Amino acid sequence: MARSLPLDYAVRNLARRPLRTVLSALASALVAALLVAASAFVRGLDSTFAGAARDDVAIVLSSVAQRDVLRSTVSAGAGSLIEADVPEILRVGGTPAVSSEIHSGTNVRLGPLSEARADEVAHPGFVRGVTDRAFLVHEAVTLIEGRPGRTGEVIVGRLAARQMGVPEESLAVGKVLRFEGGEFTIVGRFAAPGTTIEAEIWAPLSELRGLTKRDDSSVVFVRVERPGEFAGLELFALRRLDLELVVIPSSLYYQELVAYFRPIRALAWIMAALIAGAAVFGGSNALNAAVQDRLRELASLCAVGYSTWALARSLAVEALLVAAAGGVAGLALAKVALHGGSIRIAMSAFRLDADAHSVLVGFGGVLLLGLFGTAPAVIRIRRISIATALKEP
Amino acid sequence: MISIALDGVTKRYTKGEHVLTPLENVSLEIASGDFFVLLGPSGSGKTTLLNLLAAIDRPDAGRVIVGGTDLAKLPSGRLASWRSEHVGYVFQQANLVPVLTAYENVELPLWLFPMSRAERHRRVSLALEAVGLLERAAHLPRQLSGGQEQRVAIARAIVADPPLIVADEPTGNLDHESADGVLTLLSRLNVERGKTIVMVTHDPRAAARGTRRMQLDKGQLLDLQPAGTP
Ligand SMILES: Nc1ncnc2c1ncn2[C@@H]1O[C@H](COP(=O)(O)OP(=O)(O)OP(=O)(O)O)[C@@H](O)[C@H]1O
Ligand SMILES: [Mg+2]
Repeated sequence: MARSLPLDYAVRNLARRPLRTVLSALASALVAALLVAASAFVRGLDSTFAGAARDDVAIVLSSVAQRDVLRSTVSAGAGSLIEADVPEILRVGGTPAVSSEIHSGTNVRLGPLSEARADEVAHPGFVRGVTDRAFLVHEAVTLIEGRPGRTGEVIVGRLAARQMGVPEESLAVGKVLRFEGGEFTIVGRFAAPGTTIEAEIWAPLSELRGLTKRDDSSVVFVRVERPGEFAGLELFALRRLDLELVVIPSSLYYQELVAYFRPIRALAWIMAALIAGAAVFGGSNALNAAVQDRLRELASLCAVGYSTWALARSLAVEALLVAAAGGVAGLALAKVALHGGSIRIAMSAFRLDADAHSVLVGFGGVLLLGLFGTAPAVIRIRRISIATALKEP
Repeated sequence: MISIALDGVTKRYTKGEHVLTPLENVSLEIASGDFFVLLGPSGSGKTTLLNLLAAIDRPDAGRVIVGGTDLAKLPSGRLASWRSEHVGYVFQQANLVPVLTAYENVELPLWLFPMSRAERHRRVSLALEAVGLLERAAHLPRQLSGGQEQRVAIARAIVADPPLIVADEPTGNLDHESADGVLTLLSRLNVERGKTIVMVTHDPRAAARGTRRMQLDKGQLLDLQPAGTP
């Protein structure tokens, strides 16, 4: 750019106060890493629930359960009653898309009972008892390995191992799990991108009923032909007050979950913002101090013919160089720290990924904050009285 | 070629109730091609006057006209580039940029003009040669003596070939020999290149190089007899 100070000037200025530069770069690294983490966390949280929400799926659960699927009990016959009564239900090859399910948070142990050791640990896991119809309702679920389970068999979501805090290979096809007093062989693995289902273990419904000695279901998932067409289902719930059912469109259900996690989400951003604020404050102080140190030099550059804008630009370049260097280090840090990490919340888990979006937030954020932190120093430079500054010691 | 006119210039500094008036209703004409020497006791306002000529300060009253331009009429956004095109300033202190080499310090004013790298190199080399420091081009200011720093500052002031050179005690920190070198350089710029030079000095030997001398005292300018006249 014409009438700008040479880039060398900005670059070499960084070496004038090495400690100051290094500390500022470290602060930017921290902020970049935090922004990436916060953004990855929030996006993971959002997409987890967003992925599960569908316009054409409603959840039928017990009206006394206060919308908690784990506490909900629905009579075993509810599913077939709904099938028979609600005309809007989607049918795939004649089979109605109505899935009665048991949802349970339970302790899962690894390996067959015969190999169990006295000091074995139980891992908290999320088990869903399902029939084959579950695949009609939960369309996101696809088997990526093996086949659906029959009696004595389970399939596991690909995030289940992380959610339980066990090595991936202990949930590989062919391995054995124990829960609720039963022993199950893993015969398949499934994906359900962006949903909490990926962290679950799916077992046969009837077997789970037997093991848990319950003759009901937790919830019934119902898929209708056209999105939002739940009037028939709601009418059914109203007519059969004896069943004590409540119908919640899954989109609404997950919206409520998102709302439930909103404070945590806000907390992540607030933490990032607080650290960023402190870093901007520190950085802008460092820049101000740099201007104070160089007052006479800056004034002499003005006298030579550089505009105060040119000086301000050069200072901004200095700040951006530090922010960018710190930002790159921060991104690397975030990549390493987040890689393979997952967050467990309630009964579910999601993967933390330093994806393109969060990297952009981290790097772009730190550059923007760098510019922002330059503002006080720029104002100071713009107000320099050359004649007075030339008299500085 | 550039002439200077000060017309009823007053400059005041107010500190609380205390008002200081280093320049009071000062009028002065410096013809194009003059080697003008400004003398005066410490604190008499010599630097203040140079700052007004170099458009780095503004008077409280009166007009400063340099090369036909009334500096008060220049919008503040234009002042910087006006300075780069018209004035080379040698400060009382060398004021070099500590992180840049002698060469790069001298090159600084040239970045303000559209100019090829080769042309910049040619001019910087000429300027450094003129002050006898070509072989010190790669040195940082802290690797130079005070006198050498001052000579680099002079090279920086002349490198862009401005028509007006203002110099604030350019020989104050120099030994006799270096001082003579600098004064000879200024004289040559004045005689051979027609530069208008305004120089502040306490040194009678330096003052003798001027074509005109004036003394600033208590806000007023007094004409001193030109050198050589009885
Ligand atoms: N920015 C300022 N604020 C207040 N007073 C100032 C300012 N600049 C200069 N002065 C005062 O104005 C007077 C003239 O200052 P100036 O620097 O012009 O003197 P000088 O003739 O150059 O002196 P010296 O020979 O010591 O360099 C001094 O008394 C000085 O204290
Ligand atoms: Mg002075």
